[in-house]
Amino acid sequence: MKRRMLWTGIAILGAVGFLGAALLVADHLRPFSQADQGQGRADIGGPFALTDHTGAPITEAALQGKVSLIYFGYSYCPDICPTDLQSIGETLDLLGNELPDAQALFVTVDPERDTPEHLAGYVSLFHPNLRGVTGTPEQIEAVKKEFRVYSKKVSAEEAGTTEYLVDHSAFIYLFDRQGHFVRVFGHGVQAAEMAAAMKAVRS
Amino acid sequence: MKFFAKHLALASLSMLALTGMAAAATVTVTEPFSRATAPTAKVGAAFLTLALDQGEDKLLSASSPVAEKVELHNHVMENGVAQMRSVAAIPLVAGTPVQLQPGGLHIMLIGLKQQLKAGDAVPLTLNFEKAGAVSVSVPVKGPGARPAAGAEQGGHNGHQH
Repeated sequence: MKRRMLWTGIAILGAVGFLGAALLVADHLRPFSQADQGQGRADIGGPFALTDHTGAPITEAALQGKVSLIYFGYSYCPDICPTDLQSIGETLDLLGNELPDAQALFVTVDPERDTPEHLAGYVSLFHPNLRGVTGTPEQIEAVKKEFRVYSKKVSAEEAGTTEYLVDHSAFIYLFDRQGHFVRVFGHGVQAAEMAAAMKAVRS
Repeated sequence: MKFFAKHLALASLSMLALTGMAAAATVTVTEPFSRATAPTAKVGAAFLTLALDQGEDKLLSASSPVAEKVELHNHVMENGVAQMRSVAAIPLVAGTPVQLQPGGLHIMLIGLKQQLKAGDAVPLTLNFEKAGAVSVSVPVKGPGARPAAGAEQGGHNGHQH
């Protein structure tokens, strides 16, 4: 009887250990999981030094006093990014005068192709208050790390295409007026949901 | 001679029957649309729904005068990561329309020769294994345009060859 309990105990310990290890590995591998969505993770964001679509410098100070949506993508992306940027544009339209300090940033994960000039023509397609953000490849790598953004260049040969592509996580981040991370929305989120969440930001 | 003529007539008849059968399978293209691009954009995309009335076919390639090259692509979302890759062909089976739409299969216009502006129309030729070339006029909509509601119910702007 005692022996059986001992074995059961060992089995339980083993199972708990295995689960814990699996969770750790999974957390490390995935840029985000469903469980992350909707709840505060204060370790997202941080100082950055980048350039906006007008060529002006932009830092984390741009988040102060504004309720911000931040999206990472690339303009060469034909379908995922335009869909999310459309929703972001609609969100800003929905908020209208209700939330005059609402803004949205589109940070490229493809700084080689997304120059300020090119971004200027791109972001203006979606909304006048959408700011395009780019930088040197090193600056973009740094901001990606801070915002826990995953992206990886895929060579033309590997993708079977004419030009290289970029795999990237497609999340929309919400930041409060102190520049603190509030939550993240997944690809395909509706404008009404984002507008409601932005209005609910208190500080 | 008479024997020969009779056989010739029979052969012609069967040839006619064969071509008639081959031409019977038609590809229908519905709800085509493209998205407006930035002035300096080198790429654009076209989306549409393909349906086949009988048998099987394959979309092998496409071409357009507005782009240097046209590729068939697919976008897969995995753990929130968007991954775009080229696909060799898009298989079609009668009775199961295939939707090429944002976030999935799409036609990629590469090396744009002109800016795609909302209100314009892009000529596109689809090349099928059996149906051959099918021409379609793709209207350019907003930069983040989504498929029309009920696109899969079938529209009326398809062009058959």
